[in-house]
Amino acid sequence: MEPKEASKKRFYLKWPWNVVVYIALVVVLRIFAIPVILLIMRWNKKQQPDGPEEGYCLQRTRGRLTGLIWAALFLAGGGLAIWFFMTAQSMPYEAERLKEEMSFGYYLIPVVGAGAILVGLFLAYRSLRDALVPEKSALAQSIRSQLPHPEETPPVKELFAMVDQDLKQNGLWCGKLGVGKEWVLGDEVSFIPRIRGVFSRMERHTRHAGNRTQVTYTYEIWIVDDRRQRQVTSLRSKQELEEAMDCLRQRAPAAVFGVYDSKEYQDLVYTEDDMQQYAQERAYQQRKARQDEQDHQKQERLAQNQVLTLPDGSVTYRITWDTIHQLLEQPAQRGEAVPFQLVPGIPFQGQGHTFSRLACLAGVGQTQTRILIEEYSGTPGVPGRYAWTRDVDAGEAETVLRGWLQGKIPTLDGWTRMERSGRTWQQTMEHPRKEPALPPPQPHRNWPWQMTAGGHSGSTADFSWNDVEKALRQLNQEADSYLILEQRDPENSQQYWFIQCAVALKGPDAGRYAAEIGCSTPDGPRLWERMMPDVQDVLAYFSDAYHHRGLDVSGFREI
Amino acid sequence: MGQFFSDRVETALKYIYYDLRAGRGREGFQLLQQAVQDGDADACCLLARCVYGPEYTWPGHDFPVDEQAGDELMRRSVLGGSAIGTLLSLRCGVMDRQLARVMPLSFQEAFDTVLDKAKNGEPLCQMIIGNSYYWGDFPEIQGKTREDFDSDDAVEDYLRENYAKCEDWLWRALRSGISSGGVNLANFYRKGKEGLISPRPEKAIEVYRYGAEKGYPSYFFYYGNELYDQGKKEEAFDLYRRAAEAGEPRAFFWAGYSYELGEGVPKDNARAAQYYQQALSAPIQEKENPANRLGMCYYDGRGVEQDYAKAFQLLKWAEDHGGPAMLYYLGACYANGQGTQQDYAKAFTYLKRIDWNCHPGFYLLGKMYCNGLGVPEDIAKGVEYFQKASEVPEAKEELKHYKKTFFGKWVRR
Repeated sequence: MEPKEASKKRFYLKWPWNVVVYIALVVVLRIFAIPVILLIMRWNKKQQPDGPEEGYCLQRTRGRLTGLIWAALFLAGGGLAIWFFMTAQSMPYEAERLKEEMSFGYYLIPVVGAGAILVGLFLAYRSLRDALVPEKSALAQSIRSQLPHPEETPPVKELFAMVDQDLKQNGLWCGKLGVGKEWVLGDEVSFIPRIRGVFSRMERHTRHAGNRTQVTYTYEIWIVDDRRQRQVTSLRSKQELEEAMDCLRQRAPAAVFGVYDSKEYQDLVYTEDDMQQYAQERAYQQRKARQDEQDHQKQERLAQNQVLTLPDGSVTYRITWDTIHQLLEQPAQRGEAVPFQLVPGIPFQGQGHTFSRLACLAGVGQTQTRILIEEYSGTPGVPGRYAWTRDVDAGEAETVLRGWLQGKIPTLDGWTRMERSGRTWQQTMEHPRKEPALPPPQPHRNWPWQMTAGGHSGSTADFSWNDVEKALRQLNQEADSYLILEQRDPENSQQYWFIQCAVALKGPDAGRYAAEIGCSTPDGPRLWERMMPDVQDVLAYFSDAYHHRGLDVSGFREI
Repeated sequence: MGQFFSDRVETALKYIYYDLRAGRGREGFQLLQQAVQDGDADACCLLARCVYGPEYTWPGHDFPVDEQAGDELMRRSVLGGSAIGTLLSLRCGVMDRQLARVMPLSFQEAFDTVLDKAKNGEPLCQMIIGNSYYWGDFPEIQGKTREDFDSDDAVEDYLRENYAKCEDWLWRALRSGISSGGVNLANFYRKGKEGLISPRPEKAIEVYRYGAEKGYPSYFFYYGNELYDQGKKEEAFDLYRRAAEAGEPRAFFWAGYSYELGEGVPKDNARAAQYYQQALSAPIQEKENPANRLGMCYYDGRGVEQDYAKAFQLLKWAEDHGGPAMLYYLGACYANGQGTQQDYAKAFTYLKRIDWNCHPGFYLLGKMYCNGLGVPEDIAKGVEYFQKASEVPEAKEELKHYKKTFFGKWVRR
């Protein structure tokens, strides 16, 4: 189905043009470029409401370019120190004075300068590597290390797509920490099934400098995996940290949660004893099994959020297989068909469709059980347009119903697709016929009759003309008001002939009687229709058919 | 032949009016049917009362209602010369000029016959005489018109004197064992007769108390209602329970309600649900309240196994039949797809009408507004509802997904 409104592609500054623009701004505006850059970054983010187009992972690796600022600072510092040392060396008097004043410190200046340059070069290298060669980025390495076989990992594009897709579909964001169903993306990446412990670190650092006291806080989340490796992500506030812990509690409920450097943390990270490690892993697996069981029960409960309507109109939500089994067995015991239906509170999806109802008419004796599953119309309370039906034996009926109770739809191969026609269903015509229109055939003299009336009465072979007449007179514009008089070949149940009638609900023929004749032919099923204003006319047609008096089919039009 | 009526009619009277606790009303009904087939005119009249509706006998009997058949029986009774039938025909609308012309007994003759039986202690006749005075049938019976009086004062005196006679006869009927005799007696005390006799509501309570002391099932219920209104919940509950045990169908709901709320009795949801179920199966018209209460029990799983389908069916039935809509419960059923197909638009129509401090309802509204379910998305309103739903832990969790911007706008995190 086409979306109502095609999502408009919004303009934004793509990589690497955004960097080019930022650099240009810095060149032109110097320090004043900062607020402008921040504004552009904010606008850029707003233009991509569904997350960064390039993906979260690539955005994060490219974001490492900011490391160049630190690299530049180190390089500048180191260069300055070297330059200072060289200048001093070129002036012997000055060099002597400095040696005297700084003693050993003087010889440290070039070493520190060289060290700073090396750090600067390393930072620059790392930033450029992460930004320009994502395959070798720290993030890609982090993802690889989380996979079961790091040596057989797919290309980085697929690695990133794997994490991005999970975050896009299921991501909960707490600051820069994204928690999906399988992956956690922070400064590093964690694979949720591997998480064994989550610890929050909240520290207050006080620094005294002269009369000033500077207080800084550290907010970090430490994730420990099944190999005792730690992935650390820094967060900005206590609130972000608490939210991140809550998110992870939901997504990795079997892991140990606690505070950094607590006993739990120490036990989990530093235990070397194999027995203890084994015990920890076993405890985790037990917690996980319990959690999985709870999830499974919840899923089952959700799938079983259905209403079972019994033939007497009573309903229940407490559906057990025993109840369904009894309903399937009842016809054999009582000798009459028992219709019942199952309506899920939230329609099921499966086989490319969404389904809102299953109706079942358990077979009597040799008759098979008829199951009809109705497609959801898309609007609650509005009947679906299409349905699939199939006559099945007891075993298959059980399989279909058991599946339905778990929210599973059977494969629809071999099922007949039906289309709603008033209150009844008719087989959908897959291919329009091109041959000249033919009148409908007469009913078969030797085939037995079966009557199906709307509502919950089901089908019966034990009826008289009076029953047909009464049912026809009772037809009205209410729900499920219809009558079908059907014949099936006793030797081949695929061959059938029927005449049915319902009162048209809406349209120009609203309130009139729609009589339809249908039958199986070698070319497939066919259907003819005729509208009638009066029930007397309908009675005449049905009577002629029922009593084999030569049904006047001249007014029926094939549809 | 019995003392006042045929044997079958006298036995039927016992089963239908005088000995309600025996639970043999159906047998009485059948006896009347047999007597009618034998042409007993009194039986015709009594059977007519049975099929006119439960207010003419006792709701606990659960007799079939067929007013048309009742009218036909009443006509047969009048034409058959039944004195009680002739008098009662004045009250049921079958008496017309044509019937008045051909009826064998005049009203006065019928009255005298019934009065004679009443004086000899027949309770039904005492009630009929009392009701003739209570309903003001006496001028027609006595053939009095305005012309028979000199002045309006004389008319008033005449009416006052005769209306007042109902008190004595209805008391005698009640004391003799016909509980329905006290219904109009209590009404007479409660309302009086406008411009003629002042109301005495305290005496009405006395009637109920007397009936309850005599062990009449319906009086347990009436007197229980009085005590409930006075705040005597414990005594009221005891009477509701006794009424329910004696088969008074109107008491089932109140006995259940007392158990559910723990009014006058320790809370017991299971027994409450049982009484509600009994009320729903009972031959009474007002079933919306028990349906609603039992629906809520099923929804919450209080006293019964949780069953959303049954809950929704009962709650919707009650609403469709004119009962008050249980806004939160119906809204929750639709919003969560519990017992019915999920329909946020319908859920919203119920939930938006909640005008009390319903935290779970506010939580659902918050979810619907924040996610645009059944209503256009409005995060600010949704957050407002989440904040109002402070007692729902999930609401606090939901609030974590939203933040207020620098400009005061609520947005999704």
